[in-house]
Amino acid sequence: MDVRPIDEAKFLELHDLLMPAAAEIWETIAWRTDLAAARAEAVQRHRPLFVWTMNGHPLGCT
Amino acid sequence: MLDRAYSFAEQDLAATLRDETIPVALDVHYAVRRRDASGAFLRRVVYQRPELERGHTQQGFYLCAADGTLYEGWNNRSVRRLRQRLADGLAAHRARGEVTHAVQPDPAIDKKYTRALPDGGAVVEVFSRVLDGTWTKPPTELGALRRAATGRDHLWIARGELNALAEGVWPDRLGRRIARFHLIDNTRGEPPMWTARERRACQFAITRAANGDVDVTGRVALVAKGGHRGYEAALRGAVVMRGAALQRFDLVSCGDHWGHGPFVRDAPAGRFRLAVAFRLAERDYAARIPPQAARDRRRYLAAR
Repeated sequence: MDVRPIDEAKFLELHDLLMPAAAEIWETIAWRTDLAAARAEAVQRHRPLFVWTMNGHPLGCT
Repeated sequence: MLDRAYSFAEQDLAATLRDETIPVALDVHYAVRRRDASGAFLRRVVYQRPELERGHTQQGFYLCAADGTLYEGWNNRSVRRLRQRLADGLAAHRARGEVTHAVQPDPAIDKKYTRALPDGGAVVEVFSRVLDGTWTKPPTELGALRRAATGRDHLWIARGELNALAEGVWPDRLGRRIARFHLIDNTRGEPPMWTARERRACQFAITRAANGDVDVTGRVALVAKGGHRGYEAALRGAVVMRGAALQRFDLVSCGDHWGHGPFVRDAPAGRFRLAVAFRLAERDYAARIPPQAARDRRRYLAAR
């Protein structure tokens, strides 16, 4: 295995490179994760639920 | 990742979801299996989609009322279709008038499908990206988004591991957990996690400064059975503890990856550079979203 070590400058560069923007557009939506609480909120605010489902959590590793 | 980068990347759609709906994100694999009121509600909603009778995936989008009436249900990445379905479903909801269905709290939540952060643990955000590689086919519009995508997950650090870090000791179990479950190419979807046997090398070392801050270095070699997929990488990081509280957990892995899993095809040809970065969680939802590998919570935390 020939793996180049990461020096301090490269570490900081890579870490900065991989960090996402402060809030991407999809993150400006306040996604609820508790379905029961969301249903109660939907009744109270007279709104429908928009449910986004994936195998794996949509806000995580999918 | 396509929904994040494509379906929900339009400002007007985001505004509609924020202002006219109650938006919910769920892991349907778990949520639909729950034997409690929330699971029963979700099953009622999803099985109103007629195509599900033919064995279609339950993944997708559902616009429904709090009493379970489904207005629209579909599984398609088209932004045009999302816009139209939202408009149609919202019109149907308005036409129906007030929904006064009483929602009772779950009398007994099915704990089999809930996965909680261990008491006293910490949550770290994980981001992955392909830095360079050679793709053999020209990308489609969505393929180009996949190739530039950032993979996301969350890492859990247990209280005992935090205590070890506070004493300047690197917990081997944490290193194994990072290697097996987080040094993966999840930029285009969920790949298989590495097994204990596939973890051929996993070495971490730390240097503790006089003020207690810790520098981390490491190297891993992760190779699937048969050698068709692997990742060989170096790691470097900085950890800051104040007492038993984690103040900073910045870590980077960078190295050569090759191959792909069954659900993350269209990897670059041959070896390509894959980087994975970690930081103490900043997103408010991070603590509510378990690591993907924590579906088997015991295996994830033990990380043998």
